[in-house]
Amino acid sequence: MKRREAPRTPERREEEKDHVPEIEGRDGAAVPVLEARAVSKVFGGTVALDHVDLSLRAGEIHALLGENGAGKSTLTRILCGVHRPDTGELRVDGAVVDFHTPAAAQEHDIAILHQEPSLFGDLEVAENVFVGRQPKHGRPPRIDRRAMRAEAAALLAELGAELDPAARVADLSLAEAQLVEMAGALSRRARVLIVDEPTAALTPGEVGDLFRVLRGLRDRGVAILFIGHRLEEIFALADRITVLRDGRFVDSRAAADHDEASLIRAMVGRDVAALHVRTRVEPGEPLLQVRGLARAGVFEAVDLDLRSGEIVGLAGLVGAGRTEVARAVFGIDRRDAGTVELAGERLRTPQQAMRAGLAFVPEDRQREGVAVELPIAANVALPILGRVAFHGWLRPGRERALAREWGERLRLKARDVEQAPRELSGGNQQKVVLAKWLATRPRVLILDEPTRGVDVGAKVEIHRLIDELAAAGMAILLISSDLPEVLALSDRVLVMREGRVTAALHHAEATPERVMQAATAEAQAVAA
Amino acid sequence: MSSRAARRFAFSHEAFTVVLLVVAVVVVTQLSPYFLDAQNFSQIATDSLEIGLIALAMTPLIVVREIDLSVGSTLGLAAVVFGELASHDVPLLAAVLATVATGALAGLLNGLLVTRFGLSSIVVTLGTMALFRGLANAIVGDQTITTLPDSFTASDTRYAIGTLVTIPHVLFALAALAAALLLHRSTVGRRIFFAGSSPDVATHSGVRVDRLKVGLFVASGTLAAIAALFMTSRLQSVRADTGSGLELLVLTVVLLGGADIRGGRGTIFGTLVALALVGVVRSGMALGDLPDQARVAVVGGLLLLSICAGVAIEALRRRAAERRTTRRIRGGAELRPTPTT
Amino acid sequence: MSAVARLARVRELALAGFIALLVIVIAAQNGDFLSGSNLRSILLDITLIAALASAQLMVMLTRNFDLSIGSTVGLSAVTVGMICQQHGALPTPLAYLVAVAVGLVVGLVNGFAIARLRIPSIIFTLGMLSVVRGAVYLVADGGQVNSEDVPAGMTDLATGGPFGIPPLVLIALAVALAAFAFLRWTRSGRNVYAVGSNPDAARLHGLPVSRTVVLVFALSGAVAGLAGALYLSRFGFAQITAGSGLELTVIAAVVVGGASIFGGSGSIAGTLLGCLLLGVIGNGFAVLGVSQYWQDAAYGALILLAVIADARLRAVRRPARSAAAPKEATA
Repeated sequence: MKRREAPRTPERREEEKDHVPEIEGRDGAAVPVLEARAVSKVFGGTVALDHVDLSLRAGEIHALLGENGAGKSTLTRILCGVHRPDTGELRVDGAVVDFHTPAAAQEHDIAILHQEPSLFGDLEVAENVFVGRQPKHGRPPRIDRRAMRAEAAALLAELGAELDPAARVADLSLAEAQLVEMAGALSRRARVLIVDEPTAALTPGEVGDLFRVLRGLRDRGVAILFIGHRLEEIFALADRITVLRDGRFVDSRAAADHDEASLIRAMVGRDVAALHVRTRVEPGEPLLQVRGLARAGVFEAVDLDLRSGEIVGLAGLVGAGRTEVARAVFGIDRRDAGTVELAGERLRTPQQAMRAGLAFVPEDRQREGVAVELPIAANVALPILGRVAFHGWLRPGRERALAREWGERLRLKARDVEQAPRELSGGNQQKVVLAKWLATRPRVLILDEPTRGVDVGAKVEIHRLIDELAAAGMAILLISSDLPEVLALSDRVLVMREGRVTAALHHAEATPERVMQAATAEAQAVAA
Repeated sequence: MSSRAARRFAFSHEAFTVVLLVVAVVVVTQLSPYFLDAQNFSQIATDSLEIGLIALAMTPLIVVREIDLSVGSTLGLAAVVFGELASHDVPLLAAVLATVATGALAGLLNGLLVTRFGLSSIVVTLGTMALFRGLANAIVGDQTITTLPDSFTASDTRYAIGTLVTIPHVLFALAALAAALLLHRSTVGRRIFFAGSSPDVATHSGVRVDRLKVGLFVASGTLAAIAALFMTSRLQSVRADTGSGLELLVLTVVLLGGADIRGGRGTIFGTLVALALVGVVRSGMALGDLPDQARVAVVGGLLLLSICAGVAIEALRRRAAERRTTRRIRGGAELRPTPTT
Repeated sequence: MSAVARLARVRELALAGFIALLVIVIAAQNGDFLSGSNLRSILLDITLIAALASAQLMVMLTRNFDLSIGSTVGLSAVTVGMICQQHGALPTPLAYLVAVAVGLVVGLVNGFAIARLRIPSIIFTLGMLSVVRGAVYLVADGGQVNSEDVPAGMTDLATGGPFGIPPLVLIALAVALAAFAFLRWTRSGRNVYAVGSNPDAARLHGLPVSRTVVLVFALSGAVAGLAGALYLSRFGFAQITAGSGLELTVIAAVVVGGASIFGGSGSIAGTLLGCLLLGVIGNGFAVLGVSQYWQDAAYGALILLAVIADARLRAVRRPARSAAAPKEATA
């Protein structure tokens, strides 16, 4: 195969080296292929990265770890030229480089596999693999479609994928789309491959295939930066691990020098207190009843019962249909079959649901939870605007009082209630969302990933709050990808896979193994 | 006004428009001795009425991330309907009601196409702009209707107060007040801002975003029809091309007034200031005897200026904030990093 | 052949079939419709539209609109005409070159403002529509281009030609063919599709996003300039209102031709069919004695039908777990 194109000339490589008189290796080892030194990045008034170091060597799989908001994505984007650092420098083969565009990073043979495949839905598979670098033939030179498809097919075969190179990408599944991206990276013969949380939506079988490909690339001398947060995957794959916390570099060590406890300590900055222990109460009267809920192609035959004082966990892989069920229960998405009743009252629209005492804290906080540009007080008052207002006219004083009351209860840290949530941390934004829904005094609360992207302190507070609410008689549906969280808080756990509820477990019988088995239907849940 | 509110206003698009208005008044005063005259101001108000009326609906539409390019054609169609009915001895009240209903229906069509089919309002209203104008053409062809009842054409000159303030002036002032209260002081207005600033948040909080949008499109069509009545009584004639190109003026006024084309921001106050600005500039051009084509070009230029100013103000504000923070971390000061958004 | 290519082909076939049906119905009412001179007049009528639509397709593929083309046609026609009026007739190739240059300047202004300042194209070009029209007024300086000002070399292009096809039509056809080759066989052309299909992904893949946007607006401007010269050749005069309203017809043709207003999909073949459909309808109205005043209404209705069809088709085609990012229209 001869698809490699000269990315840059040897002369240029020499020139770049001229800037640095001596080539230095960090610990006496080979010069890193790609290195970041004291890199910082500021967005608006917030610091995303604060003097972070990272070095990647050829032939290693290097894991980048950190909690949400630790700065992993920002660092990744800097490495592949999407953002420019505000301080510090990047080096390739020891020479300082300036990636002002993604194209500049690509010229240095750096490829990235995005968390969400970033492809062109209207174009065919082969063109997505070679976009911007389509092979040409003839005179005058024209794009050679046949060669392009043949080469794409060869690359996909290398990855063990059977995909029609002429298929439209918009018609592919997520896993297939990831393979197309991977084929693109392969076609560049990249020396550095950045893989950004690729496994969130994959089945263990697909994860296994992916890891096989990554190891193969490493053995060919590619430097791989793997961003993830499933520790078992990290230990199965990584040679070295770098940990970030709150936008700062914590440490960088061989994977063998870490165990799970030390890694968690590095990520959260201290020993994690045991998860909050539920004060279980005897469930009271039935509140929410869902029967035979279905939406074509998304989920089907979902039954759900929630009783007062009960917490039901909803577990499953990303894409199993959990969020979609919650949206349909609340009435945001249309449903094709089934009924939702709250204390005997039929619910169809969000308005009916809210009136009957149902509240829904959605997954995507910044898109669906709070309007980040509008004042906290207006956000908190929105669901009960009719009650706060006087015959349709706003009463700003009452809105502020309401927001202050709930802000104090949830220990919200904000300058004042007129501040825009955009300026708050993830944990405090989540508190605004919680305040907004608790102010409706709901009987049933649906929480979709309530602790994703919040810091450890806020997470503990939210767990305690969930427990208190249940103890006070609220029925709670807890959707979370954080399995320990689900297991610790739930009275019962429902597991979904591919749009169906595959298990309903009492908290005593809900072990991580049984939940994962139901979520994946594969005997070996952990990728090896 | 608190000091923070004052700073926010100073950095706002509205403040920029106020400055432009002052500059325009000074310049035009220098250019023409006839400008600073109460009668002239009364004339400016009369000339700006139709634009202003439609802008009152266009402002919340822009806030909610939609746009109505068909307002000029809706006005034309409504005017033609009125002209046809009034010149065929239909009772005046019935003709007026039919005209308003025409506008409301036109707006309803836009609103339903946008919300039911999930289409972009730019393209939908571009289509209905041609459709409504075509219907107006089809109804009257190239004739001009001038046989309108005297009782109607005379209403334009009926004064409410003294010899400067006409009845349409008073009606417009009331409409502007109502629009400002609805947008900035009522629950409907609050929902409009949420629907424009974060549509998914609004949906998740029980706001019926689609219903709001349909309502605003109907309001836009209705106000265009009412503007058609004002315009007909002022010009005392109706043609198929009545009101063509008006959408550009309305859009200029609304964007110049600080409404953000990407939604979530806009005020009736800003729109009114911009209306005055465009009125003054047009009056200046009329006093300077500039022909029509040149006037349109100046208004277009104002539109471009206002968009570029919006972009520049936003960029300056963001860059200032970033520079401050970068300086802090370069200085090595300890700071609490905040997660990215 | 991929599923989408098949679908697109089917869509173009459907459009062609509809046009054929329309032609049969009109011809059955009035046999003169199929006469050589009438067919020639349809071709001449859609010449301008076809050239402009080929360029507008490229703009729309990148999720943008160029509403300033009508005014640009006017500016280039009047500029060339005024030069000839004051300095004597230009040689035809030079006249065409001047026309293209005038359009190119407008296109570059559009492109840079939209790509670099990130101003929504529909708003910026709406502003340019009136600014450029103002420039037409300045250039005309109170006058207009009369038939004696236009060089005979230019007006000759509208007559004669091989097989009775005027050179004017061939020029427009050449523009369409060039656009076809560009979009199909060059990387820059493929980038136009990629940028419109997913601008964020295009940026991440290191494609030259702003340069592509500047390029399509520059091309759109240049073609509008050329269309100004075609206008002079066809009509032999130009008033300061020349070309106004053309942008609507052109967008109607592109949309009717199956291009998506959400960018990323559309073809030159479909666009030409869209032009033909509008031409047949316009001419058919005249032949059947339907008032010309209905034409705008018909175009408007066609735009609406086409975008509704596009939205329906997309809704059906999108799988439940799609890999492609959802598209949002930018207002």
